[in-house]
Amino acid sequence: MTWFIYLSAHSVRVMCRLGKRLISVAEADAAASAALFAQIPSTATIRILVDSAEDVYQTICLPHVTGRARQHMLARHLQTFAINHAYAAVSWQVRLTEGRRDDVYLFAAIQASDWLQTYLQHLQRTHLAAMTTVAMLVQREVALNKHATALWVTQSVGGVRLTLVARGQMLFTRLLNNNLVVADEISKTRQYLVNHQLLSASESESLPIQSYNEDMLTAFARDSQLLNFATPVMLQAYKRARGQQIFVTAMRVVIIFGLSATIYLYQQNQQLAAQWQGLASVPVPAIMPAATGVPARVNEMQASVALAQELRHAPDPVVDLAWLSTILTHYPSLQITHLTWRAATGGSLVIGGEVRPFTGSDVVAHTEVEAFITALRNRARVSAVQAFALPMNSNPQLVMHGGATQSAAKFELQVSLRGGI
Amino acid sequence: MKVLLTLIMAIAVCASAGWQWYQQTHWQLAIVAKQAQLRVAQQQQIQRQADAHWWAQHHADYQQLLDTGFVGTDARVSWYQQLNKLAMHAGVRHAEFEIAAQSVHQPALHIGNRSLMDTSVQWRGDVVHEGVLVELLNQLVTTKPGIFNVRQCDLNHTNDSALISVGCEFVWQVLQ
Repeated sequence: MTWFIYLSAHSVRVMCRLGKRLISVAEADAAASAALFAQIPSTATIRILVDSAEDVYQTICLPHVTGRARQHMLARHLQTFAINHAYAAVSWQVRLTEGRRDDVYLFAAIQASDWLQTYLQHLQRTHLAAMTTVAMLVQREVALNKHATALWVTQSVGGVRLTLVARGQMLFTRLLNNNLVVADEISKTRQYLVNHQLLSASESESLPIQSYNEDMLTAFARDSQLLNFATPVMLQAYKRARGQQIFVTAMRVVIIFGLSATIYLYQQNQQLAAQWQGLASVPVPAIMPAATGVPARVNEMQASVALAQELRHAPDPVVDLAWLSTILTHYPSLQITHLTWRAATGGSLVIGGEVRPFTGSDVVAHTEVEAFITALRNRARVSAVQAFALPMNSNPQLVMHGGATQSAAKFELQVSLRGGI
Repeated sequence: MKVLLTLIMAIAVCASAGWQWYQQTHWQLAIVAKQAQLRVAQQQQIQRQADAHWWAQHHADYQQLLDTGFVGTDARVSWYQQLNKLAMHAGVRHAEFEIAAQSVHQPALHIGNRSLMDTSVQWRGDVVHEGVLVELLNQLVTTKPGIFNVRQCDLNHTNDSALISVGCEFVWQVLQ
C-alpha cells in the first residue's frame, strides 16, 4: 500500500492507494499532524508532495553534453545552486534549436524549513519513495496537457499558488498568503512580467488565466515521473524494503516452482518404485549350459560353413563355357581364336575370333556377328556385351577391317556376366 | 524475519525437490540396469537355442568341411600330385604349373583364430578341344583338401590344325 502525503506549513493531507482505488484518509493542521502520521504503518511506502513558499526554481542553459560528462556538469551546477538548500534536483527541459543548441535544465530546490523538517522527522520511520513539490506537479500537468503560455492558479489547503508556464517551461511559481486578494496578486504579477521583460505589455494583458481544479494528491498519485527531491539517505529505507520485497517475491516463485517440481517428482518416483517392485521380483534366468554335444564355438563354425558355401558358389568357367558352346553351335562360321574368362566381379568373357570361311561379303559376316551378339545378350547370365572390333561398323570409335585381300572378318567382344546366376 | 523465513522455506523446498530428483535418478538407473540384465539373459538364452538348433541342422556340413580339409592347412604336395595325375588323365599335353607361396586372402578374412589362406597356381597346357579343359576343371573341383576355384582362363586357338593353348590361374583356399 502506498501513502500520498501533502505537506504545507499550516496543514497536511493523507491519502492511500488500496489496489486501484485512492482513499482520502484525513486532513489536519500542523499541530495534529503527528497524530495523523502515527496512523501510517511503519512499513508503508510514502510519497510526499510539498507545498512551500520557499521553493527555488531556475532554468539554466548549459552546453549539450551526454553521458558521464553531463552527470559531472549537472552535479557541479547543482552543488552551486543548492548551496543553502537541503533538497535539490535538476531535470532536463528542452534543447534549443538556435545558436549552440544548448540544453535547458530546470534546477529546483526546497528550503529545509522547520515545519518540513518536523514533518520529515515524524515520517522517518516509514519508507520514503519520493518527495516533490506542487510547482513540479503543475508543470508536469501543463506539459502533459500541452498548454501554451498561461498563468496557472492552483488552490490547495496550503493556499493559492500562481505559476507562470511559458512555452512548456515554468518561469516562476509563487505561493500566496491566505490574507492576500488573488485578483490583486494577478494584476501585480502581470506588471512584474512586463517590468522584468518576460512578456510584452500586450502579451501580459492577454495572458490567459487557467485554474487548476483537480485535486493535487489525486494528480500526484497518478504521476510517478515527477522530479524527486529526496536524498539518497532518505531513500535508503525504501530501497532496502523494495529490495527485500523483490527478494521475497523471487523466493515465493522459487517455492511455488520447487513445490510443483517436488510433487511431480514424488508422483514419478511412486510410479518408478512400483515398476521396480515388479521388476525386482522377476528372477534373472541363469545362463543355460550349452546343449549336449553343441561345441562352444558354434558361431565360428556357422561363419566357416557360410564362407565355404560362398566360395563354392564362385563363378565357374565350366558352366560359362557350356552355354557359350551351345550358342556357337548355331553360328558355325564364327571361329573363336582366343577366349579369356575371368572370375572377378561376377565373371567376364573376352571373345575374339573371325568369320570363316569368309565369302567376301563384309555385310554377311557383320550380320552373322551381330546375330551372335544378340544371342549372347539374350542369355540371363549376360549383363552387357561390348564390341571392341566388328567386321564392319560405322562407329568411328571402333576398329574397322576391310580390303581386297581380306580373307576373314575379325571381331572381338567383351561380355560382362551377372553374378549369382 | 520474513525474508529469512522465506529464504529458509525456499531452501527447504529446493532441497526437497533435489532429493526427489536424486531418488528419481536412482530408480531410473536401477530399472534400466535390471532391464538390461534381463534382456542380456534373454538374448543369451535365445542365442543358446539358436546355436543348438543350428548345430542340429548343420553339424554334418561342418564335419564335411573338416573332412574335405577346408578347415585345415596348405596341402601343396597333394595338389601337385593331383594336378599332374588329372591333367594326364584328361589328355592335356605339355602341362606345366607353378604353385605360388601361400598368402592371406585379400581382403583379409578371419574367423576366430583362423584366417582364409589362398594358394594360387599358374597352370599352362595344350588341349585338343575345350572339352579336355572342362573335364580337367570338373575333376579339380572335387579335389581336397581345400576349396578349388578358377580365377582366370585364357584359351588361344590361332590355327585350325594347332592345339588349343590354355593358361589358367587356379586357387585352393583353406581356413588355417
